[in-house]
Amino acid sequence: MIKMSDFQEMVNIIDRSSVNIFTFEYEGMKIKLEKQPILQDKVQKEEVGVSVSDPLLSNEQTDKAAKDEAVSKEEVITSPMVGTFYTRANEGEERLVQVGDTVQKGQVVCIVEAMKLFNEVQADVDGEIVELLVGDGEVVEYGQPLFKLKKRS
Amino acid sequence: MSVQIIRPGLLATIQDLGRYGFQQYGVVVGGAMDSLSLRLANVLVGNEEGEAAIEVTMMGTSLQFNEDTLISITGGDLNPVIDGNPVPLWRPIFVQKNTVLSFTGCKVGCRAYVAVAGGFSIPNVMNSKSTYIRGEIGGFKGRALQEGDLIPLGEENSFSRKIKKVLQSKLEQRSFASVDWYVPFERYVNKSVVRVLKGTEFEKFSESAQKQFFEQEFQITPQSDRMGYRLSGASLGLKQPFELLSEAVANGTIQVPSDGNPIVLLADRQTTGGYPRIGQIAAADLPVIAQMKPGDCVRFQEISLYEAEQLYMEREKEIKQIRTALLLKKWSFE
Amino acid sequence: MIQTIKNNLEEIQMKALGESAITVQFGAEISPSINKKVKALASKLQHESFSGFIECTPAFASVTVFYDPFIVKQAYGEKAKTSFQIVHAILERMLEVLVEEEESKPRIVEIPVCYGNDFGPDLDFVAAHNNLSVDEVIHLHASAEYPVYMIGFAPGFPYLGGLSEKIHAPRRPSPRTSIPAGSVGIAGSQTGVYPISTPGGWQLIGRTPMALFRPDRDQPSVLSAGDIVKFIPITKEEYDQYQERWQ
Repeated sequence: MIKMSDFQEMVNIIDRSSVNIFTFEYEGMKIKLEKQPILQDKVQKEEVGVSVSDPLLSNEQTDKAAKDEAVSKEEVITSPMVGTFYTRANEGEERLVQVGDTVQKGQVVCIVEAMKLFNEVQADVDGEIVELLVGDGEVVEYGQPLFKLKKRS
Repeated sequence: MSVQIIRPGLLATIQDLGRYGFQQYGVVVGGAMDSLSLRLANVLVGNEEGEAAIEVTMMGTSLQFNEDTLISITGGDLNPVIDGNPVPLWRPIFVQKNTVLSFTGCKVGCRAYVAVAGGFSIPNVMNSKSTYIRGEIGGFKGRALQEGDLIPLGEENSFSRKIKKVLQSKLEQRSFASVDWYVPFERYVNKSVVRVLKGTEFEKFSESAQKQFFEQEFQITPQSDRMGYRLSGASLGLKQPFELLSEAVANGTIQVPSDGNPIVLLADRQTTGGYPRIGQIAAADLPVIAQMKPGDCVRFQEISLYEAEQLYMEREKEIKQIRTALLLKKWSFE
Repeated sequence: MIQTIKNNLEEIQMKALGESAITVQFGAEISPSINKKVKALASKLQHESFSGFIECTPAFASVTVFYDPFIVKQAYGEKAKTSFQIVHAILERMLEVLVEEEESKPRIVEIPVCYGNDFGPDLDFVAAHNNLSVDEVIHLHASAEYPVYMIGFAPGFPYLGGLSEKIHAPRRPSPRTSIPAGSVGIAGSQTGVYPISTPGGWQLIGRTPMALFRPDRDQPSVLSAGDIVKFIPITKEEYDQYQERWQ
């Protein structure tokens, strides 16, 4: 069965793709999505100064003007998609990061599972993890803050 | 396009999901020991689930890709490296022309699967590309891979080409590139409990044997291969000896010869057997036992036929979901 | 004559072999009448299979039916029923009336065998064990007709009945690690031919140049259940000639 979170993930992906009309059939269920022909704005990414690395591919860093200004200020790492939040890459393993850890730009800090795929979420600044905002196994929304991070000055 | 074997390592063979329809002629099914990993390896590069892949056993195998190729590695973590850099498992990977992929050790599990987009362009023998070494059929020339073998690749489909193109642009200075998502199946590889149904002759075993079978640990002995694992541990005796007519056995059948040491029949098992069967591993846990190696210990946990069937259904649904998710990933690249 | 076999379902046992196979047991002994039912069910499954059916393996007194529980459930899905129950019901219906295959004359397959020497290192043992001369063993082995009950164990390996009691011999105390393809052996009351090289504990009395396993053919096994096998003694020269001709 397709879960609500899977469906939301699907909508997100379609939303950010060049696809305008999308029909999907799965086990007797049919979904049709049609996009409004308006200009898409991608505000979210710029607003939060930390990685919402493209949900599909890493290394897709958008240059941020924010870089120069903020000296040691608090930032948040947000979820790139709807899904289930995990602090571990695999069951039984150590947490990817703990509060107090210093992380580097590009380092994987957590996993968001959507439709049986594990998506790595990366920090895109160097800094220190100051707070974990979500519990292991909780469902997170697109753009929901996951970690508080103190940016290294 | 081709893959060249630089070093075969301990054992590397070409396997698919096996050779079906010929057991009535005594032809073994064969195929990947860990069929779940094989299926997912194929799905990740856009192939049909049952396409052939290379099954790498334990360590020492080195492969060179003679063209830019989209590959995936699943199954056990045999420490795959390219130019000294670790290569992530369970995701599509773009490798540049002339890249050498080497498996340098057994971290977790003991069998890895390398799938290539387009699969291998080798002939089918009785509807399968699986190598059956004893029968000298299938795979590459009916044998294990050897140094210098050049295995031709098949045609990539549009899904594979799309992912390949996107990843190629991410190469930077390295000779391979990957994505930041993966299928979370490593958790199936590193387990020591295997779920088992009572075997056809379970009731004919002594009460203590019945108890010990589910309560004690058994060790996988060095006399273990793709045909089956010989276990050591409690000696499992019968209530009284009896004659059994040979009949069909299946992947995961646990039979007990007169010495009392159980044998788990696996991919290259014979089609029929005449020893009493104390257990039958649930299909969902065949990948678990297939990833165990000599020296590892296994415990058998009893489940019902109903539960085994439920596990089977859940697994199939999970794989279906992953296929759907990957299709969505493809669209998201556009 | 086409005969129908009416089965008393109470005499037939159906057992799960895991969640993906059911074994239908017609009895617990080797007998022509039971083996007929085995053949009839196997042939029925070849002609009218069901969704999710993968293949079946006939044996002495049973047929094991392999299926994919997921496809079965999708095709015949009733909420309350498991795939096992669904396949069980399908097989029960098939078993109600089985049509016995027309009793044509069995095919006789002659297998040339070069007895003794390097090809039959245990021929002397079999003779000594039975207080016979080597020639008597060869004569007894080559003068009988052996019905093929089933093919199993290894590709093309026939389980044969009909070995003379005078030449029964126990298995070797420890199996050889590799037996050459074509080896003809005796184990207890059975005789057979190893179509491919495998480990094995049988007493080897000779070797055939005939390939019993032909992976390039539609039917990869030369022998099928129901055939009659006759062994024809040949000399080493004839063996070499055969091999040249067949390769």
